[in-house]
Amino acid sequence: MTQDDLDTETVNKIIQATYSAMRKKDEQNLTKDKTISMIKTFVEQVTQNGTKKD
Amino acid sequence: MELRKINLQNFRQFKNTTVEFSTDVNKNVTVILGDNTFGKTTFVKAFIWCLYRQNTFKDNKILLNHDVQVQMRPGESKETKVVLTLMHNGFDYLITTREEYTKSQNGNITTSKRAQSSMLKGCTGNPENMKPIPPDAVSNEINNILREELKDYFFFDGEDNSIEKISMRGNLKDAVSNLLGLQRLEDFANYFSPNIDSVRTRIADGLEKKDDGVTTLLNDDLLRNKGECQKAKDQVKKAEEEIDKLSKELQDKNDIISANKGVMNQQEEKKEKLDDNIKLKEAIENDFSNTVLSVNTTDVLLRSLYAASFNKYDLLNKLSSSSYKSETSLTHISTSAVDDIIKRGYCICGAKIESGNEAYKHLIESKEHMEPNDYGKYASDFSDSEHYNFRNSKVDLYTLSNNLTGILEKIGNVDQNNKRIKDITNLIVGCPEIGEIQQRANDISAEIAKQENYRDFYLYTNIPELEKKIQKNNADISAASVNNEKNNQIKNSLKYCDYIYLAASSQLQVSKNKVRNNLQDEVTKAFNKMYSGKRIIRIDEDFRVSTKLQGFENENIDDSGGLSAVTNFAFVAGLISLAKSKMTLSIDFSDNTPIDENYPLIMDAPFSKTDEKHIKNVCSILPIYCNQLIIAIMNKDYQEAEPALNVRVGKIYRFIKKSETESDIEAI
Repeated sequence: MTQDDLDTETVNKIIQATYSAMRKKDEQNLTKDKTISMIKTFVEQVTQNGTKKD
Repeated sequence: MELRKINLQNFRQFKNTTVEFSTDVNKNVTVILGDNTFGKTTFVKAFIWCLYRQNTFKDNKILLNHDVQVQMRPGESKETKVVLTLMHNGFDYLITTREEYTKSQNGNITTSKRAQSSMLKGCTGNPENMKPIPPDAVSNEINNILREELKDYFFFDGEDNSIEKISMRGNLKDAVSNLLGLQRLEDFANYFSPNIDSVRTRIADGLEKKDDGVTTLLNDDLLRNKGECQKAKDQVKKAEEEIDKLSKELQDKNDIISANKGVMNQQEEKKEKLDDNIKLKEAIENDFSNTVLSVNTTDVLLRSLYAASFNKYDLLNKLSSSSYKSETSLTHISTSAVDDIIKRGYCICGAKIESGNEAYKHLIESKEHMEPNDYGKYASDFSDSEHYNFRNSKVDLYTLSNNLTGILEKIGNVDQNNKRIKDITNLIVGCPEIGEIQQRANDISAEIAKQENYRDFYLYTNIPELEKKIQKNNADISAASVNNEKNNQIKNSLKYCDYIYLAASSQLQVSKNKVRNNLQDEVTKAFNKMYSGKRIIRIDEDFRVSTKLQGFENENIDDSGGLSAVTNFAFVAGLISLAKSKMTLSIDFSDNTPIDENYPLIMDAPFSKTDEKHIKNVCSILPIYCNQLIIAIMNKDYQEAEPALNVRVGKIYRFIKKSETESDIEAI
């Protein structure tokens, strides 16, 4: 798989959102389950709303 | 993290002591002078107790000041308290840890409330706006300032955690990974892993699958492979925990061996003497047994006594001059035999025998030279035999005497050994058995190597194979799923997850190598400024530091304690330097939030094993690498350190020992 199939902006958004969630996990003592759910929701939002390159 | 102030109340020998630390960037060193037993170690341990509630005192676990304990009435309670003020990431923190003790009716002091920490936090510069942090969130906040597993890399109490031990700590690999951002990248990648519970697997759970046998089989296969993969990861974790545990134990054993080298030599000598005694006792038993056997089988004593008696009474001469000693004697024939021949009338030779003829006369005359008329030949043989015995009995007795002397010498050696064993035993009474500890250390090293092989098999062979199978399972399941709009959207999300996972995993591998190389470069830079000699720095895959002699890079050469201390100072300096610049390690996966990467070093008697020249070098370098240096140091060491350190010293204090149970610290 190469990044050509994907939207770079979306990839970067996911990376930053994931780090943001990880920081929130540390700061607010969130569970891993809750953190995964947060990131999952974000990934679904940014990848399933027409941001894919076709 | 920038340490501002610490206050110790009824904490061991400190009744109410406050120390403010220098926060001046150019004068970032705080020095506290004090000799042994003045409270230097207690002072450093107070930080660890305040931040992590870890009581690492070995002798007495009661932290409450002894004078306070004595003054307490039965039923009365008093608390020991440490308050630490610090700044981190734009926030001021006031951390208070307290423990309460109560005196029972019979005078015993017991902990009535275990150590608990509270925290006030507020934006820097607004002390009046500091707000309390909920009790259950305090530990998490402290870990965000400095993770507990990293504390040993910044707080050196000189006992369990001295600078010399830093690069041999069991958790070194994890600690360096944490400090340099590798762990964060690994945690990041795991959120997109197809192999464990992750964002990716939860999104994939939403795929609408065909209700057919093929999909069922693919799902079963995926679950099985995931299960095996998880088991393999558990095995890796188990092996790493075991390696950590064993490494710590090995370090403890090596410390004991190193601290007891004299005892080890004496114990080895004692063992040699004991082994020697076992051999000597066996030899004595064998020699004695052989001697007794020799006396029995050769009748050496009896023959010697007889021969001596023979000689004593001059029987040889007497027999020689006796008529019995005759050369004409005939042996083994008697007069009766001759009478029978005469009676028969012819001789053995056939001659006829008649009374009065020549043969008859010859035989009658011969009877005078045989038994019972003549025993001369027997007497002659006996005389020769005893003469021979007499001469040889001297040799036999000499040999016997030599054997017995040899046995006595051996008995003497056993006595000497026993005396030395007794002396050594008295000298080393109460000391640990170093030989057994060395054997255990060897066993631990072998076990660590075994666990490392075990771990590496799972890590580099088994898990990658299973992950490939899981990837194929996921691709097959995705291909076999229902073709509708919802699934297409999910598949699109999964493509992003898979790309990010592969890219992050790949970045992690690159970063690991880069971190090791960068750490080696940074430590080398610091080392070259501190040490003048033909040594080069090597950092292995587990981030352990060692030095090699230039030109002999493949040989292990023992480091002296002094070189080891300088090497580890350089390691800490290099680690801190790299931690400050870790954000540049990854480009695609950088966490852009600014993080406070200021690290203080707090050390008790750090230069006790460093020579004068290297103290100066280390002192001129360390304050440049770390943001804050707080050292409790002996007066004699500070005399060596002062010329190099003076320009960076912002605050200087000294310990005052008021009594065996009370110390204080005052500014100079």
